[in-house]
Amino acid sequence: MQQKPSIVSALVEDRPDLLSQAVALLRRRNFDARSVTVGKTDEPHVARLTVTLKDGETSEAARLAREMGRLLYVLSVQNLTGEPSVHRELALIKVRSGADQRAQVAQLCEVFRARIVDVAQDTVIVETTGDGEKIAGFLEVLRPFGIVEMARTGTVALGRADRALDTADAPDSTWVERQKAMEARHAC
Amino acid sequence: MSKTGAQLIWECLIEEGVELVFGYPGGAILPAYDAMTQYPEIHHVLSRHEQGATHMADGFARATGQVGVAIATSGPGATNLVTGLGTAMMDSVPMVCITGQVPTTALGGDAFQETDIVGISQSVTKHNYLVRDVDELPFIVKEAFHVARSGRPGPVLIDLPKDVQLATTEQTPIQGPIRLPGEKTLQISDAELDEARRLIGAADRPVILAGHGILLSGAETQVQALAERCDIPVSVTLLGKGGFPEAHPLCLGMMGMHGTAESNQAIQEADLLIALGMRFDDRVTGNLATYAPNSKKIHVDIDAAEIGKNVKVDAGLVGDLAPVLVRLLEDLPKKQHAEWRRCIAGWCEESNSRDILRRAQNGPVLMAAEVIDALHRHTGGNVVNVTDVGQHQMWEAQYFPHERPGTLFTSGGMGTMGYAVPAAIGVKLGRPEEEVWAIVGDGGFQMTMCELATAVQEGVEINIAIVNNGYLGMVRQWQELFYDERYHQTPMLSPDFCRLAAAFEIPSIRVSRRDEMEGAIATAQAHRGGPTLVEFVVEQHDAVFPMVPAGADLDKMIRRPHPGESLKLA
Repeated sequence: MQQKPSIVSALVEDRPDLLSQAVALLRRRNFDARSVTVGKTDEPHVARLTVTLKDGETSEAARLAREMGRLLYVLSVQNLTGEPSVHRELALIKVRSGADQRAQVAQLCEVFRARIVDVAQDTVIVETTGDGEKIAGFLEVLRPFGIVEMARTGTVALGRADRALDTADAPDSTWVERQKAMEARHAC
Repeated sequence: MSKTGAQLIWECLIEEGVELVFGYPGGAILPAYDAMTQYPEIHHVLSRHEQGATHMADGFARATGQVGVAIATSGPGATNLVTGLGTAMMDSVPMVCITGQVPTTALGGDAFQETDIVGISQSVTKHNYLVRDVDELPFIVKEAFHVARSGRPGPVLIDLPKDVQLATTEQTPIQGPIRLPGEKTLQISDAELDEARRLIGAADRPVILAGHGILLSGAETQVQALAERCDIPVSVTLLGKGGFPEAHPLCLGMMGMHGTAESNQAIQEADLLIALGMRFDDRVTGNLATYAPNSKKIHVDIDAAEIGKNVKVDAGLVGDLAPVLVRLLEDLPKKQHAEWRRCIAGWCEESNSRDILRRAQNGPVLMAAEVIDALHRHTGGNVVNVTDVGQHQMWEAQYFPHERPGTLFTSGGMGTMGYAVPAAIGVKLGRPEEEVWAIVGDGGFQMTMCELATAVQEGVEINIAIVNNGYLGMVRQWQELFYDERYHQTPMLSPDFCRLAAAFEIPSIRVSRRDEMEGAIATAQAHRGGPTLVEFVVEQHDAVFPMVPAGADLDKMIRRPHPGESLKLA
């Protein structure tokens, strides 16, 4: 049986040392993270931090959600493990492919809803988005061509429907006030 | 009016109510030290090592409940803070450490005395900051103090580059309280409280586990009310001592590795554990797989991450202990547990029969337990003790009953040798009206004995009791019991402590006989104007009993043998 992905998502204040504080927590509390992603959100000063553990680490994910609550910048935490949620990752894969094989690669890309984003004499770079399973499947069919190198973004995730994290009960912090004050000063 | 970052840092500290700081100057923090002269309301205590400054700030914070402040320069000054930060982190002590740093323009370039103290200290602080812009300084200082003292307290580090100290700003200290992101009012539902009440009502063999959180929350009266209303025996953790009066008939004494046998037996036989502000450390649980196997568990803690961390609980209440207990007590019926109390009384009797203090003491050599007992009797017990780490720490915990909160300070979680002497300086400066004793072993004393000079320079009236057995005694005990008596690197040569004290112009007495103890203690108590030192020369080969071997079941204790009986490994 397919084990469930273990994913914890948090809304955090977008501070410069956010990532290093998050990574320090993972090391200090002995978590084996598969990916850590941080990105901006629609709200200024708020970022989303997503940590993925090994599949099936359900109790570790619960522990991580509790520990993440300790981080100063965290506004709210959501354990998406086993919850209805969408998980996506983007991968760039450089495949060995001369002129005679390009059509084959392009065809596979179509099946996997991937696209070729760069073409060179002997290689192409394809871009694909999906959950871990889809990317693994795509890699398998590309492998016979020869994979030169690849890069993945790590997983981002959102709970389905109204399973949303919000910052409504997190008041603007002093830091946000400071940012606004400093931005206003620089604007003058 | 514009001012420098170096001036602003002191104004921010004054705004936070700081009057006393502990530290050690150096190149990268010099602008701040220079500016300090303009703020006579701040008193600076010069330690002899930065680690000492952190333990002094720690002792001051534990004794007063205020945030302790330690200052050091960059590089080695900063790295020397790490042990003190770790000590404060493990024991939830509110502290702010300020370090100098190379100028922001030199950061990352391996400049002289540059070290990445923010990176190094991340896992031993509640939070830390690198100040990159002088305009941020008041926000960061405000936030640092808020973080240090709010929720579960802990240490915070502020790294202050030299150019930020020299830069000018129009900013002023931020006044009043602040908010933090994600900071929520902890709310416990009526249903959660009802469940806790139901568990208490259904229990026949309950035990309260009284931790440090009781003292941090100021929940002593509520804990006593709970214990008395429902007739529940109370076992205390090392840092929970003073949270429940030890003379109280419901008090079982300390739990854990060197806890009382009756505490550990009661915990293992209990059908309900009520854990209040404690964290199920391995030193109090022993083997987790067999820990209190037949008990339900209620856990109250202010730190949500502690609930279920080590032990699965049936009711986890996240909140500040005192108000939680006030609500719990509102609708809690009285109970009696006569049979359970009789059962425990039987265990107590067995313990008493093995107690070394109840045996006639007529050997030529002082036992450490006698020394602790003498300190208790001859001081009337109404003193504040600061203990170091090792056998003497456990003997103090076993033989010095603490009846009121804030009368024992020790490094519990981290087990930091060298803590006692500097911490006692901080405790005495924070609570000058108290009689303060630093109780140390010969090993730990030598780790931070340079701070004797600090005590003399500041005229700090602490009494230092060295319990000298000529060994790193606790390690020796492990070698005796678990390493086939190979006493490797534990016999320890020490200086003549009294001549050492004389070099610091500290009055001192060496005691090796029973009849000398009372007089020596009285002489130390009577001294004014600075520290005193009493060296107690004790039996070299005694061990702390009972002992639960690391990782063993909590009730599989090695007991002190009866006279004529040989030692039984559990």
